[in-house]
Amino acid sequence: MVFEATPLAQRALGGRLELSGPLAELRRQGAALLEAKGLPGPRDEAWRFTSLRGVTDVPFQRANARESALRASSTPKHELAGAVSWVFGEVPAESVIQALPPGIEFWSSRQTGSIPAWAKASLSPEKGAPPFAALNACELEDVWCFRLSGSPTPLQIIYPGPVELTPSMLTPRVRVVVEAGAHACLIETTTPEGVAGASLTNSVSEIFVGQNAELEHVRISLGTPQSRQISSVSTELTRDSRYRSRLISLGGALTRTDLTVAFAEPGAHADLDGLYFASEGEQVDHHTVVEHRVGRCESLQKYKGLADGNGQAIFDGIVRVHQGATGTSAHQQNRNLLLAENAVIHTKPHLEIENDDVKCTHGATVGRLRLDEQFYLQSRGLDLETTRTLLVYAFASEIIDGITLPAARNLVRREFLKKLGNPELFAELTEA
Amino acid sequence: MQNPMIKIEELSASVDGKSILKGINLEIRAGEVHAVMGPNGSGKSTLASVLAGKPGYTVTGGKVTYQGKNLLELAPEIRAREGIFLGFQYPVELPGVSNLYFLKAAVNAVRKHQGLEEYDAVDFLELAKQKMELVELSTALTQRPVNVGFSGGEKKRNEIFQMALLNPKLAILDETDSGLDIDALRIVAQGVNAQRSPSVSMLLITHYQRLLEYIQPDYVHVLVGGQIVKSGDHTLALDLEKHGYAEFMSSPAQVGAA
Repeated sequence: MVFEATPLAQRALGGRLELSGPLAELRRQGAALLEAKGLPGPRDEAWRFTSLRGVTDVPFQRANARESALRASSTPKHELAGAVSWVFGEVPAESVIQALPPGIEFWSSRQTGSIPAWAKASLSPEKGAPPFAALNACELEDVWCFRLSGSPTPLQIIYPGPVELTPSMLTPRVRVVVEAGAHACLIETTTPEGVAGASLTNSVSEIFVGQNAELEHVRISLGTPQSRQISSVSTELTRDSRYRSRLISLGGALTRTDLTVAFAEPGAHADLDGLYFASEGEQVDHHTVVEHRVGRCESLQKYKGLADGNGQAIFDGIVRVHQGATGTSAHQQNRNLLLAENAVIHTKPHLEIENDDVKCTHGATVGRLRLDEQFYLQSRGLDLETTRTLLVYAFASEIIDGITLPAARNLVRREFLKKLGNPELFAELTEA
Repeated sequence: MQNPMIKIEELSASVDGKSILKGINLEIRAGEVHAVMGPNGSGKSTLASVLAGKPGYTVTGGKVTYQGKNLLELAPEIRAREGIFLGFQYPVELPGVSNLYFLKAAVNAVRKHQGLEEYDAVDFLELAKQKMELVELSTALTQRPVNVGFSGGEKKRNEIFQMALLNPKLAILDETDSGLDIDALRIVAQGVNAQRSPSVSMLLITHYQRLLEYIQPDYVHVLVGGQIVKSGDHTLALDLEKHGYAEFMSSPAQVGAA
């Protein structure tokens, strides 16, 4: 990677927060990486189709995380019924932390000045992480750690938008550890609503799934015409664990998500779904990396993309089957729907296999709404607009209906239909 | 004499520049059931598609008058709202969209157009329950996403269920019998027969005579090479069953009109 002396990187390396302990160590690592590699530009393969205009050329100031969180908490919009919903940026009062249901444990690194042993040992080092993760480390103010040991209550973390009207940036970072044998559900929601100025949310989520544990992880990114969201999500799977990831990105000036899933021990299963939708003026980008480091693991990827107006939707997925990872099963599928003449879809599924004895498939399609399908609906009396809405929804529903948690599924369905301009269909299309 | 429900005059149509229909003449009056039979590639499905307004077909000549209106200038959804129903040979699947919602939206679009009050969810469910018995569809099936995971027979029964709810004035059934076993055929026919009435016209498009054992048409037309080459009553279908289409294939079209 070529060092780009971008205003954003320069700013991060210039003014440093006074921190001590593990956060200072993370920042040092991040700064070293940023100094060595810089932020990406158009010459980097992983950013070739993604314009970082409005991101790396803007010296975003650090937003007031506390105020941003308080504003989001005071106007709750996307809290899921039945979940513990916390807004990142303001550590809840001690009484609230104490009242967490059994099976959810919380730790703020800023508050405690440390990272707990259970969150430290198990996570992969900063090296090799996407470049914006280094920027995140450089700018971070807190790391929230959660230990999930089998609570039936889902955990929702909400990432707000900055309160400032000038270009501002939030840098959330969470670590989630699912204990061996536990079943857990994590929902992350990015909702930069109500932001008037340009905003950047540069988040990092590090997830560790213990042996024989099971995690359903839903990530929902909602955007605004001013919001840039860059998310680096990495998940490590240990022996016989099961991971279901649902990455949903419904717009924003730029919404880029890098998902890395690493199989560290045999017998694990990852089921990775995604749904993304870019309309006029939007760039929505998913990069997935699945690392089959050991054998006898299975990964299934199913990503569906839509682009309307002059929107640009990108999928880049790589599956690496490392030497010795025999008995690997890896399948990757990306299907896309172009809804307008000027809309753009980029898709790049690829496999790197250094092994025999593996079962791998991949494929990608880009299509348009089919006239014969439209005609079927029209021939029943439905107008063209309703017809198109229903066909687009039918395309996306496979992913939406694959979200196990009903409250999260309904949130995605509602936001998707809102984006299609038919919020009133929500009640009609939601089973009682 | 009563005005025809639909009057097709010298209708010609092409697909991708290839001429398929070459001057069709056909009149269907209210309450009549007509069957159009013919070998593969004769233009049967094209006729059904052109009448319902499927995109991709170019009308190159002739006219179609439906209830006094110039049918060919109406958008497909307007034709539907005016009472034309097309039963598809290959119905489309709609994951995530329940059959009942889909049909309620369709029925209400038609009712609104016809100046009738739209159904609410409760009334519609009541109506749907009556109609689903007609084609022996289970409640579970009607609540599932449209045609998703339906067998071939279930899809066709679902088409007839839709027809029963939409209450058309002119029903065009395109190869509704194809791929059906004898039980499914009986159920489909029973659903169609229940909707025969003096105010409803039907056009059955079929390759085989089998369907007509269950739904006896008033008229049978033989379509070969894009033209109606012979018309008669239901006994014509029996002749065709015995002798096939060979006699029409070898010679040029003999007759132009019914």
